[in-house]
Amino acid sequence: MTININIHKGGYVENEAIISNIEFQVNSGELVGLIGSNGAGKSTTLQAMMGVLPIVDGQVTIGNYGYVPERPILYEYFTLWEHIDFYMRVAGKENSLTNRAKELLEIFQLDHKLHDYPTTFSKGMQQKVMLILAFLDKHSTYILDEPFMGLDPQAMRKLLTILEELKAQGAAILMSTHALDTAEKICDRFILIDHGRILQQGTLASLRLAVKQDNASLLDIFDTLLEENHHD
Amino acid sequence: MTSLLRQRRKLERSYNFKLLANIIDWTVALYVVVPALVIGFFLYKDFILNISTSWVIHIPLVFIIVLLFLITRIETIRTYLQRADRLFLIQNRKQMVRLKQAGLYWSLSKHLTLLSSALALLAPIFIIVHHVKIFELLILLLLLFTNNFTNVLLQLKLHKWQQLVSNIFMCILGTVCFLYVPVIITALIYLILLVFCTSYYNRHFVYSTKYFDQQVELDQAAFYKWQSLLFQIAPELRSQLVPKLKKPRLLWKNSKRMFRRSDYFIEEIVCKTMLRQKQYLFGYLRFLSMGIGLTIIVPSWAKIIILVILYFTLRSMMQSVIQQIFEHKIWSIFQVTNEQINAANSRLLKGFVNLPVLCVFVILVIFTLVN
Repeated sequence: MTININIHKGGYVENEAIISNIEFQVNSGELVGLIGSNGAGKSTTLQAMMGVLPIVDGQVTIGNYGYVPERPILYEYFTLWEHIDFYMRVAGKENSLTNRAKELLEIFQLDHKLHDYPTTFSKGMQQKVMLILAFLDKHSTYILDEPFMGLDPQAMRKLLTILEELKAQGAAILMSTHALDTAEKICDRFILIDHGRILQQGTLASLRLAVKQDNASLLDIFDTLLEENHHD
Repeated sequence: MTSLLRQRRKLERSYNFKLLANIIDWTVALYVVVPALVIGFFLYKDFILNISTSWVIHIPLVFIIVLLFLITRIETIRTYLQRADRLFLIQNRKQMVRLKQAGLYWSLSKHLTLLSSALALLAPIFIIVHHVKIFELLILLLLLFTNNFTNVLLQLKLHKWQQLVSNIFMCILGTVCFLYVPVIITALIYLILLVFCTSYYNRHFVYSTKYFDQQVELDQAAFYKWQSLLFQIAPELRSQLVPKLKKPRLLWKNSKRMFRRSDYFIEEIVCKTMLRQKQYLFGYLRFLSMGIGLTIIVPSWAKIIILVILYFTLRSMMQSVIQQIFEHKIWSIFQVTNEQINAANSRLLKGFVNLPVLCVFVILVIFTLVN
């Protein structure tokens, strides 16, 4: 299953489109990084893809997906176990504490907090809850909006391992991030976005070729593209 | 009314209106207020028509008079002063005096209207049961009004225990004057007292700034009166909507499922929210207990109306709770279909509304049959 995005106009605020001409594809077994400055339109693109924000002109093909939002979204009156149970029940599963759930709880060291309200957790722990919920069930696609936000180095490393595993299992993963160093290491392709438009997309090698800099880092490439775009 | 007073009264009205609008859904208010007024009118009419055979004929007149002297009171003579007035308004003496005077006349006229309405409602008891003349009833109004005004003045001057003694003294004086002293003399005594109180208040509290801080404090208390009253009735509103607890305290604290069926997940979220959100739980229980209480005390013909009102009130309250739960952002990460939502909504309304109302109805039928 692949993700196909073709948004001509979307994510409206006060009758004005925030994103336009966003067109890309994420193939199965591929991890694609959505890169951009603050307010460039990354989260808007992801939210428009999932129908949270409107798309007026365009088409989105996306299978069943696991989603990590930009900020943790937790229910104030549910414990961690209840969040997991609720998620599994919505997905039509009978058992809540599956081996996968136990494994994820152990990986992110939240197994001792099962009966606590996650809204009282620290920011990083809340992010871990969102990751657990997204990876609980096996999905064909994953949409991750700033998944490294607030995570400690150990948790980041564990998340990277999980992403590698999912990729190997054939999942299509779209991830927006500011952690460019990390993205450079793990992403197969990149979509560089600014002012709600795609600046450039491709592998690191093709991006280097586009900016004519052989050993440029992702940050250098992004800076060069931004400058070129502003001159235009 | 001075423009400053008008402006501050407008501010107070809008504050109280917003407060009410925050806690009462207009549909609930409509379901409760309109039927309550209609039922109240018919109950009162029923009571007046059968007054000669009702229980009130056994209450002695002296008891009613003493009770009226004890329970009626002016809470505060409004000044509409604010803390910042110490900096600005206090320098403009003329305007401050005008504001305080307007506050005095506003408070007194409001109290007089309330007292007159209360006495008008009680008039049948006085006139039919105790054969009190209308002129005497007007004298009673004067007595109560002057007594309340005197008490509120003493409140500003005396300590708590002194206030209690003076209140008891004023109550005895008023009762004795009304029952045993000739009407003209009573009217004269209380008119002189009223004039004296007004001039005393003007001299010591309007033209003087000696009690400025005390007056501001009392006026602020009056400004937040409805909010304080609301918190007394429903203390759970004081706490934030979000629980501060780390984990649930009582039921289902070890995160067990409430419903075994895994497709009842919407019911689970609504029921657990109802249990853990005090505002929802107490609101629901309050409506239910009020409905049950009313069905017991009202006459037979009104019981069905109360049941119908209870049904619609609970229904609209539950719909509003479910709506609020569905407005939560959590639903952006869970993919739930409209069919699942509608089915759960219908089951929830049956459980929280239809079932309790049916139970009350069955109990009422059994109760009526037994009697």
